[in-house]
Amino acid sequence: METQVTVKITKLNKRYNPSAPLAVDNLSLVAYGGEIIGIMGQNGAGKTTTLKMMTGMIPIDSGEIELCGYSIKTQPTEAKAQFGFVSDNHAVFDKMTGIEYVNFMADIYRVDLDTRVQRLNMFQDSLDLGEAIYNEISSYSHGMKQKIAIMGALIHFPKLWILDEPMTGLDPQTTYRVKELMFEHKANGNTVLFSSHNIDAVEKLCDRVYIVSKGKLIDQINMNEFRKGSTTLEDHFFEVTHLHKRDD
Amino acid sequence: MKNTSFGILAKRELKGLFSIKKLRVKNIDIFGLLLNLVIVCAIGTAFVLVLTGVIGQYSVIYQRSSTLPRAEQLVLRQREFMTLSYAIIVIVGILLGLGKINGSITYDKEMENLLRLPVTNQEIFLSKLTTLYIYQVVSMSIMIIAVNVTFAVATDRIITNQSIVPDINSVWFWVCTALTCLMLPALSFLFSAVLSVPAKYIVNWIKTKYILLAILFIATLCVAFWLYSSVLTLVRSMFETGQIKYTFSDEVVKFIIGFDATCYPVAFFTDAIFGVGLWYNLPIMVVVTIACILLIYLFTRYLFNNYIMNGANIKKAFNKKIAMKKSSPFGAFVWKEFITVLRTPDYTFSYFGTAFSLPIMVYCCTGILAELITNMIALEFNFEIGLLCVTMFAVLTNTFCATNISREGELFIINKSLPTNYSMQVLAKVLFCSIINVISLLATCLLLWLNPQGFFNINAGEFIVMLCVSLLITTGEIFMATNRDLRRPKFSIANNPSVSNSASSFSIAIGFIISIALGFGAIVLNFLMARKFQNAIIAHRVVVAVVICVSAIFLLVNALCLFVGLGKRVNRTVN
Repeated sequence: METQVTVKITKLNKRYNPSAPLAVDNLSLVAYGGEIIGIMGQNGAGKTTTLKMMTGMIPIDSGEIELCGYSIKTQPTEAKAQFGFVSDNHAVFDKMTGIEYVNFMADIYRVDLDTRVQRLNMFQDSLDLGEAIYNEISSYSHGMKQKIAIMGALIHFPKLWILDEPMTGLDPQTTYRVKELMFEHKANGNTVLFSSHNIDAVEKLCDRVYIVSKGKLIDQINMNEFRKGSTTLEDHFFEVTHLHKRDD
Repeated sequence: MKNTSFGILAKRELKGLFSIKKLRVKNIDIFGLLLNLVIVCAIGTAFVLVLTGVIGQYSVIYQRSSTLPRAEQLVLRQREFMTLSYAIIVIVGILLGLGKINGSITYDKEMENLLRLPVTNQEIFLSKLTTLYIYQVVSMSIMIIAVNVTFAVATDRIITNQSIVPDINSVWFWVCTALTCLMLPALSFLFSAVLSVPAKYIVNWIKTKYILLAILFIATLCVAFWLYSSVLTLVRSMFETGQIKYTFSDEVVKFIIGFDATCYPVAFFTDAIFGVGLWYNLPIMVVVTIACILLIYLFTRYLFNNYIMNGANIKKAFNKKIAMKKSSPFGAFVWKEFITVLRTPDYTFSYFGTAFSLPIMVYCCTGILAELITNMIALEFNFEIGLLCVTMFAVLTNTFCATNISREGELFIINKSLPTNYSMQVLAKVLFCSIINVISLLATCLLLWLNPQGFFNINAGEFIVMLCVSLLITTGEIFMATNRDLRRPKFSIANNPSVSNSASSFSIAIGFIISIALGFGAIVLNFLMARKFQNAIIAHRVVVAVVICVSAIFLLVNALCLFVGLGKRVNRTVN
């Protein structure tokens, strides 16, 4: 069976202002269906900027991004319909109730009524927001916001699920459930692509890892091969980024 | 104090309370600044003029009206008036304090951050209490000084021989004014502190009753305007019939005398400024103030410890089970706009409140203005005056649209990742505002046409033209305001939905200019055309044609400015 290319980034560049260095410098990467991809890097390495360009949130200076065969530059609506995005700050419409938000996202992605009800029940089983789904999102905790953001992002069963720092500030149970959902999404032949500082999570979850530093892609790791070796991902990360674990 | 935790916290609180920020030239909102300046000057001038006039006439009317022997003693009448003024200032102070206490001593993100700092709860509490008291002193001092000075000047013109009346040139007057400025706020602040707990419970209860809240806002604004109009009509009628002289009947005078005699401790302050019984009034004032401050401390500490620290003010979210229903992406965006406004009390008040009370506002003001102009020039311009009032008020209502983009806050950029084009998202905002605008204007024009009180006269044709023209102008304004906001958004931050940007003041300024130009332009044009054609019907038709053309051009230009290249502009707007 031929695996579908879900993400194809070619020679991507971004500079926020003329005097600043490149935030993303000639970055290329590819992701396939049935994969979990991690993007790792220090703060300011260019991870979030890359995700923002992938999702059409900020314009691209040069280069190309194709999502499931659609260019984000020339076919933005089609490209955006292929993914679900969970931002690092779980920005959702605070004034809606949880169920209104999921319904809103289902409307935007044109999911029919029976399907959205069925999927919501499924997400409730795994993420378990319970009765709180009928409450206003402004009353939610950090973890609950993350759960509702995930439900909204997955309501259309996207081929590509993009997450920015998904594990930050989550309790162990929610972290476990998010990981489960990631594996489930992958098992259905879809792609999960996320950025993270959490080396342990990346090591356990990912099939392939891209390491970026100062906007440049500096390494690409096949985790199946990597796990056979004796080096930890943490050591490897510090080695390729030329960073030291301690300042002294 | 500077280096202590208390000093640092108090300084920070003061900056927040008085909105002290470092101004950058490029961030200065010139339109807003000028507009605020004009409004403050106008209100200040009107206040001083009205107060001077009322104080000047009060004793005279009072003296003539009442048959009671005491009514002839001018100084006593003035003293009673002063007690009334101070009582009103105290009531305003209570409301101000109530708002500030509940806004400041609240368990929110800011309080969470403060509680994490290595400072005691006592220091946080005291710094907040001290700055709130300073705020109360500053805001009430403005009113007290204005009343005292105006009172002294006005009474000085009436009776010059009675030294007991406050003398603006005396040292005592200024010492007493300063003491009142320091002490009277303590009294009002005490009431605010006592009322703050029940007020907080009511606010929290009503906070999530969105529809009830919207109805309350609308009803309050309608009743306020109706009262304003009724009082104005009553006063005018009393002046016209001469009844004003008999306002102060024996019953009214008895009530005022009784109020003055029992309104303690406020009356102590009046006694002091009139120089009555200083040797005992002054110590009493000091004792009362200290007692007030002690009680404020106890009440707010109770509020802080038992109420805020237990998180009792955290909003209880509703848990109403609703089913999913399908709609188009465009419909979903319009619905999102609606519930965002409905569920944000600030937005409900500034948009739904003003939009749905527009009919009453316009109806009240149009009647007064139409009668005023008819009396001045002996000609009827009902249609033109109606048009002026409708557009002017509707323009003010629609300034809310100047935050259409900024209101989104951080979600503006997240929304870009949704598979819909940007024009659709902006169009949904514009459509939502237009729907509210149509309902509001339809009700307004209908009320003017039906004219239940019979003081205003327009026919069915004029009703239709007025509706069309006001719709064209205000829809154009919605486009203009949204476009301006898109060019210079000032995104709101979480937990603080209030957005104020240059687009709002720009939109008010342009809207005012257009509505005044259109309204008065129509009156002048009608006058000129009537003279030229010697035919009122032709003149009226010319006016209608010109007004429709101007409004249509205004709408068209603003629609083009907003929608041409919209996608590119949205794409450029990055947080």
